[in-house]
Amino acid sequence: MSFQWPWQYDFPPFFTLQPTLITREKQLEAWASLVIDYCQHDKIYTIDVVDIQQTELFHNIKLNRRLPSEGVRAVFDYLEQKKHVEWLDKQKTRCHIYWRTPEEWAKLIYDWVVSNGLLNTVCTLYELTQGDDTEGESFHGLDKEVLLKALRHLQSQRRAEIINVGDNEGVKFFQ
Amino acid sequence: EQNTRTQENISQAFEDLGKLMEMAKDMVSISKSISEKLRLKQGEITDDETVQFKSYLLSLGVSDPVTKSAFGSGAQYYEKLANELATILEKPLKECGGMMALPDVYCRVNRARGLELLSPEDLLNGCAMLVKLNLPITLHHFDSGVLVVQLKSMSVETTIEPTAKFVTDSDSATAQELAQTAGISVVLAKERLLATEEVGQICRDDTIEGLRFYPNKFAEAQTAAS
Repeated sequence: MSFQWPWQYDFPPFFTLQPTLITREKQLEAWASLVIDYCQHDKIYTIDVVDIQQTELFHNIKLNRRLPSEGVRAVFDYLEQKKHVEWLDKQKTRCHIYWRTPEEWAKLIYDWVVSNGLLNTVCTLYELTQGDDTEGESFHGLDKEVLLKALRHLQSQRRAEIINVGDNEGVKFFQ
Repeated sequence: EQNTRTQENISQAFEDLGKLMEMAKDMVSISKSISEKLRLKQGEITDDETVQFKSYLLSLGVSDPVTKSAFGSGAQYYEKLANELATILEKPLKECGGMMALPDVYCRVNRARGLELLSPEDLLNGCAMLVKLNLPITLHHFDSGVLVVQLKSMSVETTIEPTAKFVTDSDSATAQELAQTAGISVVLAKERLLATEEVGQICRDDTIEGLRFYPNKFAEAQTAAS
């Protein structure tokens, strides 16, 4: 299945940061959802800002337009403001992208655990994201960092406990 | 023979000039001292006196803005000028879409006069009086610093709708294209586009090829997508 570009991607002004505030807000909104959809489609969990500027995401070859770096910066600031992005360094060059927030992931995982009757059992992290049982689930192949964040969120709600089993990390779920 | 005569003529002319300059210097120093006195006497002076004094200053070409602005705002001369501008410009303004940049106005007025020309400053001061006198034309100041004279009935705000329509009909437009179609100057066309952009009717595509404006599909899509 190839990625479905939104109509904005073929609209030249999309690649110029709009000076009018109302318009810019809408533009950034469209960019944000495009970035999220794109990462979801390609299963991207961490972004290197410099690298991604070179990809088709910010550069429409057919139109011969590319979003300038201050535009990209504005898009990422907007994503950060909406809590879809978390920076991994002070210089803001690499970040996690959450097409779902860790809280949403946590809910998905927990629901799956409940529906499969795995409460009070221990699963390895590998099982959750790479195992055969989760093949059809949306969190299959989830980045480990993001998974841990989701599990910590569950832990803070007293619904899970992260445990170290030898050199494997596991997690136990509670009612 | 001939040469010596012209030489004499020239040197005489220069001497006269020198004398004239000295006279003017006296006038300047006198007018300065008068304005000093006026400042001291403030309150005991009637309007007419300062007005008269101002017209003396003007005829000399001495600019003394501080004291000028201290007594009333501009001379009667400017008011008369403003009235004249209103009568001269109303028709041409209607013909060219209700707005004219100040340099164009300057050209037109001075072309029409032939003699007794206006200085740019006179024109500007005259235009500044337009608002006060409640005439059918006004001076408008764009954020970009461009000054235009416009009909009160045809301000920028009223041109937003047609401008947006023009951009929509032609899918996208540059200032040049709008200028050609509407028969206005490029400067004005750009101002119109910017004003239309300001209210979110159109959006821009800024590339090395130039600045193009498109209908603001971002705003429209909002209703369609959600």
